[in-house]
Amino acid sequence: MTESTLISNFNLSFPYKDTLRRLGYAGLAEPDKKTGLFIKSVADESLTIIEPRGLYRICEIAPGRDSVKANGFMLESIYLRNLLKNCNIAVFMAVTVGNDICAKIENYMSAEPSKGVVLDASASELAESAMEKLHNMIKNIGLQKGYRTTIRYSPGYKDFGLHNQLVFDKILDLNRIGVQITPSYMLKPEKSITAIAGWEKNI
Amino acid sequence: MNKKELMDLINKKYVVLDGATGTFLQKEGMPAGACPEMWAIENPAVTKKIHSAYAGAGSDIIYTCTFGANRIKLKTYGLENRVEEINYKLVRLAKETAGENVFVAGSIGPTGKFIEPVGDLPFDEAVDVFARQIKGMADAGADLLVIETMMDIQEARAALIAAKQTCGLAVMVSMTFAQDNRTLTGTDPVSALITLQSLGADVVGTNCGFGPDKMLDIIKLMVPYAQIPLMAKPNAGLPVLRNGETAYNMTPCEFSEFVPEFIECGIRFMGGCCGTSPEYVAMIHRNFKDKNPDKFSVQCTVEGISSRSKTVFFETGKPLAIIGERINPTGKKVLSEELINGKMTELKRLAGEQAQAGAQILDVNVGVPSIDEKKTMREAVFSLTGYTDLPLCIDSSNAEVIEEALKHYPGRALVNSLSAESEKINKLIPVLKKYGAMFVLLPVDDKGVPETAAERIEIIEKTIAILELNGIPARRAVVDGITMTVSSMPQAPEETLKTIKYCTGKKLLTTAGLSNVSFGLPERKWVNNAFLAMAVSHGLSSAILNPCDEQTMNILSASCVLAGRDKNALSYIKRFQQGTVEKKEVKTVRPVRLDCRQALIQGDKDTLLARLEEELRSGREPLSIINESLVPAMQEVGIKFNRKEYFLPQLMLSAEAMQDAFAYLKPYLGKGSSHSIGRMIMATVKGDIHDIGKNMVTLMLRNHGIEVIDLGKDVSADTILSTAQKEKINVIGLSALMTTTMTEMETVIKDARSAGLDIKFMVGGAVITAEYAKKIGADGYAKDSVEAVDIAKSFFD
Repeated sequence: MTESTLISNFNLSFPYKDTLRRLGYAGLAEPDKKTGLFIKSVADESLTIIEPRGLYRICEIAPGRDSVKANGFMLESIYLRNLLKNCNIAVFMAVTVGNDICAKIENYMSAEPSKGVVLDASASELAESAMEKLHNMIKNIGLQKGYRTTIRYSPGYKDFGLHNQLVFDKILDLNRIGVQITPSYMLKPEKSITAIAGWEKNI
Repeated sequence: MNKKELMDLINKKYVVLDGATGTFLQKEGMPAGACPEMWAIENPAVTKKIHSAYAGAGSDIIYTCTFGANRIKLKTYGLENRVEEINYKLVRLAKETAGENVFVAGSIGPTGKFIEPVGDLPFDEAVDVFARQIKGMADAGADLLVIETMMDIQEARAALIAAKQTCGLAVMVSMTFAQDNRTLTGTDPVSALITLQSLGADVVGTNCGFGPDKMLDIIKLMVPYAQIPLMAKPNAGLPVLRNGETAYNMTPCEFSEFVPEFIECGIRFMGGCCGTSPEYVAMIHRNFKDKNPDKFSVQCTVEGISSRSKTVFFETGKPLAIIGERINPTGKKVLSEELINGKMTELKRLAGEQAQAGAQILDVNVGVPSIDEKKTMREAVFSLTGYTDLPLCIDSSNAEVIEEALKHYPGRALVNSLSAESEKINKLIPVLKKYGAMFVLLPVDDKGVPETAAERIEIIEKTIAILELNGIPARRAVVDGITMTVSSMPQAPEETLKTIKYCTGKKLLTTAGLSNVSFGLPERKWVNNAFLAMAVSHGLSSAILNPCDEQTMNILSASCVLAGRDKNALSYIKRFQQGTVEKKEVKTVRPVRLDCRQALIQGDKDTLLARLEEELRSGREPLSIINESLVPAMQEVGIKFNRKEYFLPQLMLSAEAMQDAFAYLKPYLGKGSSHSIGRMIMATVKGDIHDIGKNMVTLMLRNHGIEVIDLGKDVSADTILSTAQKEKINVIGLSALMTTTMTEMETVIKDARSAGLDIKFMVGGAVITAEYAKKIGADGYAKDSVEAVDIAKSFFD
């Protein structure tokens, strides 16, 4: 069985705007100078703590009526089925920014909650950045093979239930990047994301 | 065919490569899912047909059908033990077809795996995988090798190193770039070129990914820095879907219209990739056949070092290359301890700090006594290449450590340093040669550090002669002028400057450290910076310094303007215009004195604690401070938050200051004197591990005089309700982040109601709405921590 491909060394730059948005600075709102410097110092720290790693695996799929079959597993979601209706290949992806930053957030939340809140937002956005980078990579691999890559879809969106995380685990072996699934289908470390995108021959 | 024979060929003619092979095989009946290499062996007539079609169309070099014939790819078909045999047979098939005037290039494609630290394939294993493939090809008489369609610079490096250590054949290396002009793992065309040509590639270029139009842009980026011939193998335009199959949109005629521009750019080799066929190759041949190329000569003598995604050039007459010196454990306790424990957080922090301050290259020294320097250096290189795009300067006195770093470094590094001490030079020269690294040349020999410039120059000349004998050009050296202490040797700076001036005159690159010069003097920075300015005027091409020292960086910037190294003062103006350097306020503004209420609103902890101390000393009651100053101040923060004048970080800064203020005042509150307005429980419900929102609410509640028993996250209904009963609490706050866990809130509330407990519930969390709260029977819903305080207070009224 082909195993998932491991990717690390993401070389992420800090998603400052997205982190601000997550902290409530909507639209044109900007932090004042003092708060801005504070956020930036925590953001700089977050980049030194994260250990971003990811996995992907290219699988043949068969979209059904209200589910998608992949490697013998069923992904139950009409929305996902509609997204992948023109695809016979999909790419399973997972990223994490690691355990250390989650531990640091917890430490900060008890000692310096202001830093904890900013670090939490930073870590969430860095995980999103890592997934975005992996997704772009998949798009480029797809292009080389003559495929267009669809948008990505994650368990927990619309009717794509969180229990589908188990399928991601079976297909990707999330343990390879130190990610586990809790009994309530949450990913641990917390700042981890799984997603699926399709490859369609529609250039 | 060795390098010289290849150069002879390109001095005679523009070289035509072949076209696509995979699509050709498919057209000839290769079934989907078959191993192309094995199918090519089992169908020799088809394989020969492809080769002879391209040879007949005018190809000077044809590629073997060995693109995926490496151990890792062949394993998919259970053929991993037949690597050498498969490569041997396929090269023989091509050789039998090629004829006298057509050369056979052994094609080497990617393994499909990523090399450490991006992936999990160890570098040495990758080299071994390619070496096995190359051995089969070389044994079969391949004329040269072509490493093609590489999407990761580290894999291209591994294949090139394997080629160089397995045989003496000439090697072409061809990278594939995506729409953003970067490879899959982020390498730009210039960095790829700098890395591969320094590593010994005989030809560098690009194939696949684009049609000829866009590929021209890639080639144009490479041309100014190429010291070796360039090649291009574009697709037949863009892919389109025709009858459910992928096809390409450019005809041979349309494709050929671009060939003259490729020639004009300076390309020496051209063929086609996906979608091309012998007809396309024939068109290239038609364009090439009447053209006589100039004798190839190296136009570019500018040297640079690269990371995976960035190149820094050492250019005389331009602003200096700044080498940040701070990643060095000497005198840095935190860094030393972390390196000993295998942690890289401080190392990354120092890298980030220097990058922001304007460093262009990072010197990396991990030499802590008794540490495994080789292992630590490898980990440092892995960490830094994933953290910053700045090229690295590998700083060690141990050749093995340097080799380990260079092997794993996905670019071309600078090495600090090579001296003329016989033992060191003998060990380091083979390493520098193998990896093509640039290096700091320290004019020190077995007799020690020479005091005069004349002695240093003698060592420099002698070392360069040895290097050139070993095939390492002098332009790869960056000579360290050697900075010594002026207080003990008054002529020392003059000797350093003379050495720099000599090297500049000889077109040798130079560098210098600064701080030694001022040793033993007071206010050393003035001496260091003056020395730097003088060295710049003598032609210094790079400096090893602390970029976080703003004064040094400002002096350096100004010196470059005065020495004519910053044309139109553009860099200087940019430095000060962009606000990278904060202009110091000339006017003294009288600071506003904050009282404790204002200090809390501004989240200024230090001022707040100072004011509390003053208030207590003046005889004010602690409870009055809390109730009349602090609590109203927090209320104002809440109002500002609701009005969107304040955002989460400010809310938390104030909350944190309030928490510290409570802790400070607590010992002064008399017994029975309490500001508590009630007690409640906070919990994140069972199954949910996200508790940051709950923690924020807890902090805010406590700040408003509510005593909170925080049960943490993933808490069962039983635990929540039994605690409430035991502690006689009748207000509970529940939090959940996910749709799958929010249902647990309903369980808690239902259980409480059916047990007849008189408890008020407040709920919140990212996915919770007021409607949902109402539906599950909650008494209140809070969208954020400020609202949570108001609701909880209302429960206690």
